[in-house]
Amino acid sequence: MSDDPLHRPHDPLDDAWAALSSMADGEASADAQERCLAMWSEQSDARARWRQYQLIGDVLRSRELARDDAHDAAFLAALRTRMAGEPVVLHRVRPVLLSRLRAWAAPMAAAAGVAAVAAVVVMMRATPVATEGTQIAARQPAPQPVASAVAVTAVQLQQPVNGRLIRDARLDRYFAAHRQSGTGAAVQMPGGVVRSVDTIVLEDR
Amino acid sequence: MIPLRRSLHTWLWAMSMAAAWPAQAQTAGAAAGNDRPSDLRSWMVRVQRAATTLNYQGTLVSNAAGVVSSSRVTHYCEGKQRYERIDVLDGEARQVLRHNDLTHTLWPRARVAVIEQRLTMPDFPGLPPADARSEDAYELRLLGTERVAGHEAQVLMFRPRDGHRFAQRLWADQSSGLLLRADVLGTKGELLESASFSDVSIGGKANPDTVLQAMRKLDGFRIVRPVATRTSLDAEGWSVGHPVPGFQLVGCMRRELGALEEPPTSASTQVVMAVFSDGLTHVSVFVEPYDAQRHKPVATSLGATHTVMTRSGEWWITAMGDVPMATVQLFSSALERRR
Repeated sequence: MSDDPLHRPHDPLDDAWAALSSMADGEASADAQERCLAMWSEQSDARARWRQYQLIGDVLRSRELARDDAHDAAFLAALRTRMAGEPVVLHRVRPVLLSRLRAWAAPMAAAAGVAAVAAVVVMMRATPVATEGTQIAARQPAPQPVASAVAVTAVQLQQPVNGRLIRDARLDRYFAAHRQSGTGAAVQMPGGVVRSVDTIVLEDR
Repeated sequence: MIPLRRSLHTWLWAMSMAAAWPAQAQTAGAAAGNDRPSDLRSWMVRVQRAATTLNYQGTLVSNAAGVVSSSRVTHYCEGKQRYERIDVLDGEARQVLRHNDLTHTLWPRARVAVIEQRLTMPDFPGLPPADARSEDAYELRLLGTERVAGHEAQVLMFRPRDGHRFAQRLWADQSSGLLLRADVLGTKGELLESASFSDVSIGGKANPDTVLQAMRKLDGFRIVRPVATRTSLDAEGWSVGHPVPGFQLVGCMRRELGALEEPPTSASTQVVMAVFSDGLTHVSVFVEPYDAQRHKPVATSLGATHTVMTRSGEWWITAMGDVPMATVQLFSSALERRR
């Protein structure tokens, strides 16, 4: 930009804010984007301005989007409270793993409101009525982001880690006893005492 | 009909079954055409006999809800002696060795050997044999032949007569009767769970020493012997207040769960276990004292296996079986406490 005697002395920051504004509008050049991102990460006032531009854009689009910064924080706090209130039923993992899981799950959910879910076992609360139609999540070929508190509960209950399923050991003991008692059926698959449900590892090693 | 066309026909039939199970149910009989009662009964007998009297060795691949696992299965029979060895190939290493009713389950990583004298559950006097019971609960059809693991196999379909159980589709080796594949189908004909030999050799020489020697190699293993004793519901103060149609009580035992826990005594639980069977599948109902600390109601579904854990007064009930969720729920309230 050239000096213009009709305007006040040139402030290099004006260029920066203009670039930031054009980026908020999705019109910044690649160079300008680079500069903006560097500025955004280094200067707190740039971050504040960025939020203001976003807010202005939001308000222009819809009045409902004119919410204060505390809104997001309140939403996340409420989500955390709800998550903490959900019963953790099937959970027997080693403390190290448990803390790793929590360390992973909580910030993920808090920061983005999403959690990767690949629940192989469909978990349902037994009360009031759990029918086949109410199954929450079926197995998915790959972890998919699902933004819901229900899905987060499923993660806590049954979590595949490194492609393996963490499951309550207590349930496995019932499984094993159940399989063993199956002798005497009219027809039986050879080797049927061992089934896929029994071979899933319980803990990450 | 030449075998190829026949298997194609069966395949098409199976596909249409999967697509529209209830609609196809009526035409199933007409399509099969070769299901004389004598044929059906002879197949049942052959399958039962094959599982217990043959030598076979193969790799069994099972798939429940997309979780695939495989195990190596070896079975020998010498006179009345039966030997079995199952090496679980996926997940945590485990080996199951069996000589008649004596079973060793070895966990090499944990160095734990669980030794159990399996309690066979003798049928109650007056109870019809399993195949007769299954005829009441299922309609059996022969669906033609298909090839499984390199063997020509007869496809048998057990279609439930009511909604309390799942259908089962079985593939039995044409020449020996050995089951090569078993599918459990959901109420809409969808595949819930499948177990199949990917390769199997039938016949061959029995080599029971490989099983017996492995059973003697227990050096360095912590040996756990879970306690299990026969009992009756009556003796335990329970009765079947609300029987589930088609299922009969076939046995009851008092047994220990959690013998693998360390330290062994802390978490082990004495439970009463009642087993109900419809001749083809079975449901286990476990009863133990309720503990508010450990017991939280839950229902799970994995492949065909459904489980309901729920509280009933001072008791904690676990009902589990390869039956629909609604059926295990019925079982979770089937037992009544007698005062």
